[in-house]
Amino acid sequence: MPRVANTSIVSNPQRYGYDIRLDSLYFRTAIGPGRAMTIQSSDVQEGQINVKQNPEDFTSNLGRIYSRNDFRGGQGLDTAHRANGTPKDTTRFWDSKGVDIFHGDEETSYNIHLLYTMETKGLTFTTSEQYIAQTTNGYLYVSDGLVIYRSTDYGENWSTVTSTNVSYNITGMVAFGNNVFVVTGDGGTNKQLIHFDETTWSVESLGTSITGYFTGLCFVKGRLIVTGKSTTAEYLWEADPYTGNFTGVFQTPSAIITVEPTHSITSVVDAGAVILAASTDGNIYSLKDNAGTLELKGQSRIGDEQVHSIEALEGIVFFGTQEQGTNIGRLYRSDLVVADDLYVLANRQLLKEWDNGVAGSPHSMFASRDSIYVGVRESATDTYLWRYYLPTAGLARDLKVPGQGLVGGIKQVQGKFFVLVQGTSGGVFMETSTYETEGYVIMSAADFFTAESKQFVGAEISTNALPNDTSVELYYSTKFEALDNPNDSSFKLAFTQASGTGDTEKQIAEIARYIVGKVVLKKDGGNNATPKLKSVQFRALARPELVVAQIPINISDRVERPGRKPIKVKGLGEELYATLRDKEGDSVTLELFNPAEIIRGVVEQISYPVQSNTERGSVTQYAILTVRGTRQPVLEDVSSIHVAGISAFGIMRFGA
Amino acid sequence: MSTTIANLVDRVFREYLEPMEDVVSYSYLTSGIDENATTISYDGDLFSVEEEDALDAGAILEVGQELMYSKELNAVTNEITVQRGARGTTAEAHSLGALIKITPQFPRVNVFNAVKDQIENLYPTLYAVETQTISSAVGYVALTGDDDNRIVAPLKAVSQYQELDAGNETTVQFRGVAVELIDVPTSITASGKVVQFSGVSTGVNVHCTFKKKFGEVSSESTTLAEIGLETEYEPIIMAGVAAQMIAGKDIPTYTADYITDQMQVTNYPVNSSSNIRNSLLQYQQVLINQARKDLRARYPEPVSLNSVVYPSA
Repeated sequence: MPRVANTSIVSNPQRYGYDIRLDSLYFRTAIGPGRAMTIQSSDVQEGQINVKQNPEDFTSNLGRIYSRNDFRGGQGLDTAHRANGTPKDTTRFWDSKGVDIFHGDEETSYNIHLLYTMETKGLTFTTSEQYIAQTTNGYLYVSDGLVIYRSTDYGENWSTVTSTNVSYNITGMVAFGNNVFVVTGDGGTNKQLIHFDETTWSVESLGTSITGYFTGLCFVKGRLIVTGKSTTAEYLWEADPYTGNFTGVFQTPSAIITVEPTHSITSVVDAGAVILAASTDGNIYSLKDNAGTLELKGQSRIGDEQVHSIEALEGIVFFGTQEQGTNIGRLYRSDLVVADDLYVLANRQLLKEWDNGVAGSPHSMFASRDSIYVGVRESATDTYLWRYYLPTAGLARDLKVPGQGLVGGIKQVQGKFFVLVQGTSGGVFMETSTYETEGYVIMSAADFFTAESKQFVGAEISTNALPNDTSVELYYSTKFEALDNPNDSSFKLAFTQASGTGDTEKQIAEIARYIVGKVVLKKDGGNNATPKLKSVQFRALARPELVVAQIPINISDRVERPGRKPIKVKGLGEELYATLRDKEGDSVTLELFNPAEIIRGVVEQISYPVQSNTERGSVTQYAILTVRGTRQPVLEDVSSIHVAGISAFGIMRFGA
Repeated sequence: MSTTIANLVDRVFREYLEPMEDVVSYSYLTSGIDENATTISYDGDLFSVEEEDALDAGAILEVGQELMYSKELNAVTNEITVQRGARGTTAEAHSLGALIKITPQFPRVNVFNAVKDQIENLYPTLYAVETQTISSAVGYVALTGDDDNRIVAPLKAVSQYQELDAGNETTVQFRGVAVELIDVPTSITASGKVVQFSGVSTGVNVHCTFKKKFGEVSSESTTLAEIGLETEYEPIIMAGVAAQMIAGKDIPTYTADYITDQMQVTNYPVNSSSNIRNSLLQYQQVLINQARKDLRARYPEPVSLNSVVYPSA
């Protein structure tokens, strides 16, 4: 019975003239004139790329182009091409700093450009807690312990306006028209509610009140919201600033909300239908006006998190939290809905999480006409405003605040941001009209929906004509994790554009699955101008994923071993064909000895035996083996470093 | 150049019948066998799986000049049970390392026989030459050498006076003498050959040069010297053997190409494989003609009258 040679009986197949290995079987080819072996790359399947998800982002030009010309979708998208992507993906990116990706409020065509810097406005603090209030006439008040500073010229100059009547550290301050109310407390049983009418400080009479101290003050829906704490609980009251009668208001029975003394009411906001009060106990309480009196109308539980800030805009509620026992800060958005007659937050979505080793939860928020600004301490040295842009629901890093600490208040003064950073390293800071010297946008990693490596061949940007002393640099990395680190060493400079509008593709040569682009906008000299970027794109060519090998296999009884006269083995051809046919449809490893190739794939077809009668020589019977699969690394000859295990693990074969 | 017939057979294989890149599948005996052994063992590493399978029952294999039928193959132990002395060959002892060939297209025994035939057929076109020194006597002198029966005619005879010793060269004199080769009954002398000289004194050494048939090839160990075959006749033998072996056979393309190449080297191009045999024979004929001219140049036809060969000088 003729046998088909296999790896268990032949250890050095090439010596015996075998041409290929199909799994453990060895075969001889019947390659000759008219019987060529072919290994062809399988055509790239154009139609399989899902272009529906990012409709404007692909062209069928030469290769495929990953381009972005709108970044208003916000940061946080790591993979540009997702199976479950959304139309918004085309406007999203991974990270930015120092760049206004929402294009501010300028009435010009869309581009991204550098943000303005912020500068200190001269105040330094001696305590850890400060408060800010802005009166109708534009005056700014900032408290620090027992001291209150006032600026009547939009933060340029400050003067102390504190009265000796302020006996305890100020724990809350709020503007009431052009007046100011402050509350104080000594952490024990002493407290004050003080009214300042721009000239006189008046300590309000409280009458009978809790044995404790005030912890906070807000003004919403035409009333003061005061919080205080005793050894029993933390309380929330409402008070009428118009009558100025606070006698007996701050007693235990009149408290609208009572929480454990280990927690605090941290922020109160007017959410339209109700007032929302956030607490470190993980609840957001809803207070509804019922015939002129606030009453608790529901609460929303944020499990295992302390809520530190809350803001509402266009019916959407935003709140910032800190996870219990950690420094992890989070920003959420949710909708205020009515359930029965209760007002609760629903559809809560996590927008961003910060885990940078410092207590960086959003402590302060500011609502503009189209955005929510959130003050976030990102590290011990970096504090930023983050902007949530309502039209696109995009979030991005915005102005950099020079102070180091928690953001205690955000105001707008004459269209410029004015930010209070708490603590002795903090201060008050105001947005300038000077651009940042540098900013970047890291784009989402592009991979064109395929896990295979691509040949990235070109990069291009388009800008407005660059002003003097500005430039745009385009970097790229093929390392996916480079997303997380703008200073990653794998970023390579594709080119620097220092003038003109770009629009010229520069050649790059990278073979990788992903490409991560980073655009750096720079203001290089004294000219206060910003480069304006319109679009950035990378071009890639698909690399063949599959190869199709078609090899005529000798299935004759006649064996033609190289260097030997042919011999006939009766029944050998039949056995060879039967063995080959059994492989049809199987997953196999095909190894060609010369040229050296390894293809892993599927035996797609074994042709019916073909009889060939060449002009000279004998009749040859052969069958065409078709294997479709992927090329694999070719076997290496074994050297001592393999045997000793020094080299990388891999496939290796002894002998030849 | 060959020393023995075995060398000449090998040379035929090497230069005509088996190009280096197209040899018969082979291995070798891993232990010696006597003429009675029915199992032979082989080195399996030299065979591919298919070649080994081709050794299974029914195959013909060759060891030396002996052909054997395979009766059973054990590919695990690398042993074959065989029927010895197949197809009229003789079972012989074979030593360790003897070559085993599978179904040889040109069995060695055939090639050996062809060499033998070619050598025998060279006469009378070509012949061996032998010079004997015979002491003249009154009457005839019997030729008593073992192979003197192969002598067919004298070419010349020269008498020598004085000893051909060192220092006497100037005194030596050679004179042609008439010589007659006479066939006599083997009862007179075993070789059946006697010579008779004229014109020379008794007791004088006479150098007689004879034309001889080539000797009989009895085995591959026979030397060319023993049969009187000069080494320059080897190409004639090889071309003749090659032509004889491929006559009427469908020879492999490889072999045809190889022979064609060999012929082209000798300036006798072959136009197609079908003409190879004719070309070989023509080539052989040319070689023979050259050899004959050489013989004539060295040994001109003597003057002969009534079977007496007279000196040409």
